[in-house]
Amino acid sequence: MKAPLLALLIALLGAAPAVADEALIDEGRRLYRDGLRADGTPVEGRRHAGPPLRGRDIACVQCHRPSGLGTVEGVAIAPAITGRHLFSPGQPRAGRRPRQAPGMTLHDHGFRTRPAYDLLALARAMADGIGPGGQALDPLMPRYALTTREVEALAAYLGSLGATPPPGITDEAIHLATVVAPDASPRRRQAMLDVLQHCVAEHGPRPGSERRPWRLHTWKLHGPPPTWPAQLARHLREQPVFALLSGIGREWAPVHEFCEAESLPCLFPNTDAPGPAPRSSIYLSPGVAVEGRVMARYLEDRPRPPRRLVQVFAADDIGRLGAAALAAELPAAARLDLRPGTPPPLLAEGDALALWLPPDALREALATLPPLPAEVLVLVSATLGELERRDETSLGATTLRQLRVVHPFDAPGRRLERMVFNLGGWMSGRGLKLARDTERLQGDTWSACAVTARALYTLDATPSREGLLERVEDAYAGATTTAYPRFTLGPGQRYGSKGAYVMRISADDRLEVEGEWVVP
Amino acid sequence: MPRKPTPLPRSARRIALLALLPLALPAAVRAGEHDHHHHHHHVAAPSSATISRSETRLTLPKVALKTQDGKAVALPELIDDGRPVLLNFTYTSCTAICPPMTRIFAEVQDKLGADRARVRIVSVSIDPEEDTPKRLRDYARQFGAAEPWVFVTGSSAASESVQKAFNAYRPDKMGHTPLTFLRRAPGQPWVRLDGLAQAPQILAELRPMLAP
Ligand code: HEC
Repeated sequence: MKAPLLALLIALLGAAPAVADEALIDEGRRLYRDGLRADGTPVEGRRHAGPPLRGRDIACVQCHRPSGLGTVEGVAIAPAITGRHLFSPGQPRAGRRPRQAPGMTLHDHGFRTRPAYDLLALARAMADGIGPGGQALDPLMPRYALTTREVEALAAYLGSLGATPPPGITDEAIHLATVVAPDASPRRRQAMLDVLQHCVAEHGPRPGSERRPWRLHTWKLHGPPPTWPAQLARHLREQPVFALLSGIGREWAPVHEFCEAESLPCLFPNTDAPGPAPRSSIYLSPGVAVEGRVMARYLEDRPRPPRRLVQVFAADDIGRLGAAALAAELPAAARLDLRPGTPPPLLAEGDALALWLPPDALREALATLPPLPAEVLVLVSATLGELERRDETSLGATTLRQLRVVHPFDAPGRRLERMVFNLGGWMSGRGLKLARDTERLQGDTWSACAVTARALYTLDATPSREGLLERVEDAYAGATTTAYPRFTLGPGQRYGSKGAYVMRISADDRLEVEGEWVVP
Repeated sequence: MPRKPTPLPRSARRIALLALLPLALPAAVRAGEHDHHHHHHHVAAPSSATISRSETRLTLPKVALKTQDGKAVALPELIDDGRPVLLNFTYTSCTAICPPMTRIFAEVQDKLGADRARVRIVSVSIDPEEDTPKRLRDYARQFGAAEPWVFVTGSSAASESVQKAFNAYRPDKMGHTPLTFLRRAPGQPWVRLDGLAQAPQILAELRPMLAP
């Protein structure tokens, strides 16, 4: 055991080769995040006299979170345990004396009043649940069977958490950027920027307050999507930022991948085409992908699921992503993909038709549909058809009873009411207008800003990007003006809205919600 | 890399450590060093260790829920099947308290042995929007939950009305506190355990309910 211990001591004194330090930190990271020891076996522990617990179940990350900044669940507080917190004395709550009532004093939590930890104290806390002040730790905190080296590895890893200030944060400011892609119309870009700039300016710390002001940079992209990553990299080099906030683009995959590669939090961009499996991005909704999955669910729930899926979409538009999501969920069905404008073949029982088309092409396609057997469903993407922005009339004169619109937003009437109520006053107070064709964008942008602002305020003196993502996960209740009927986040959740309505044409030729909100 | 935990460093090394470490701590405060001189109650900060027990009567809302297998169930029917019931509220992305709560239910399930078929165990999701039956199924599997332990989800309104009936509703799911409910039979009062009740305590409540 002697050698590694010495290595640690030297590392802590700043004289060890960086490699040794890194290896130890890596071991600590594995224990912390996956509950695995260096040899890949699960770490073991216990809670109370309970049965043995192991592995991921008791990985520190479960409670102390990826940032090490801890979490609060009801009365259970898993405190911050980054090196900066752990290896210095506990901090009583700023400005607060112990809570008192006549004859009673409520003691502050032990972690606020304890002395600093050192390696031995950490070893004791891990093994016996006794803190350096001699206090017994809350039994929620498991007791672990760890080797000395493992305690060292944890200490080294905890010391590395938040040790270097993240890019984009200086003593003077927290820098944020918003990405404006060229495939959004100028009118929509401006609508987004107007709301965002006003909102950030107002929500940011007042001049003269102790907090660093927020600076919002606008990153305008040019040219086709494959050229965006290089542009983003250049922007980031020229102006490091802590996070991307809101933004707008039809295609988004290049921005998504950039955020993932840079571990850059990218919060609530206005796009209907989020990239796959986000870790660093948090999206408003899964967009067209959830439309595809809800379509699949709808088809599966029918007495006879389709044997063939006929989908109409442009290969260079985001409808392709919805079509792919739908097809992936129905692997047993044969697949026929058509370009917009190609006349569909004769459809028969056992077929289903999905239309991923912009408004004009959609109207055209519906007007020229060949006669359909009553069992053939026609599914329409509300996002591509912009059916959430317009009146029912944008469907043309269709009265197809088997038409279903998948609509991943709140029902139009309800949404508009909520938006006017929650945002109308604020907008008009700033000389801005809530417009029918931009209202979803404006509301979503305001909510992105409000949630992020809440999260930024709860970060302490040494913020980290992971900490920001965790605080955003907790701050979702600030999203009061989104286009969605429900908007919730939680640990690790990456989409605020998760489902869609299915709508049909009513007897009086209007779109009406059929059934409940569907979460596929 | 040794696989077996090794003992803590010996005192000799301890001294070396304290001398060398930049993080060396000031002399540790002695265990339990408290000021006991005043005639004054010291109330510990809230902790999950404190369990408080109460009994309560409540009316189950008639709501439709879905089990982890996607089966539709109506709430009073699911719970009022004549067996004693053990119930809690969880959600799958919950971090600090739900995994321990679920682990404890799993321990109860195992310790019940042959009696487990005589108890209905229900875990109600308080994050129904995220917790699809599929997610619940994966979660149940992760904890080895099996019949007659069911995980249920539903519409947000349905989940909320169940939480409200049990006086367990928090507008923000992160405000969720550990709670365990038990009931011998329909029409009987519910036992409510506030705090992270451990398996032995739950079994101590449950076993008498199984007596004829
Ligand atoms: C199931 C949740 C949970 C897990 C898993 C967990 N902790 Fe904790 N931890 C807690 C809670 C709750 C506390 C607060 C105890 C108290 O205040 O009495 C705590 C306290 C601590 C403390 C004391 C902090 C202080 O300021 O006194 C340390 C150190 C710590 N944990 C480290 C770890 C490490 C390292 C791991 C993983 C090997 C881990 N914890 C895993 C819940 C957890």
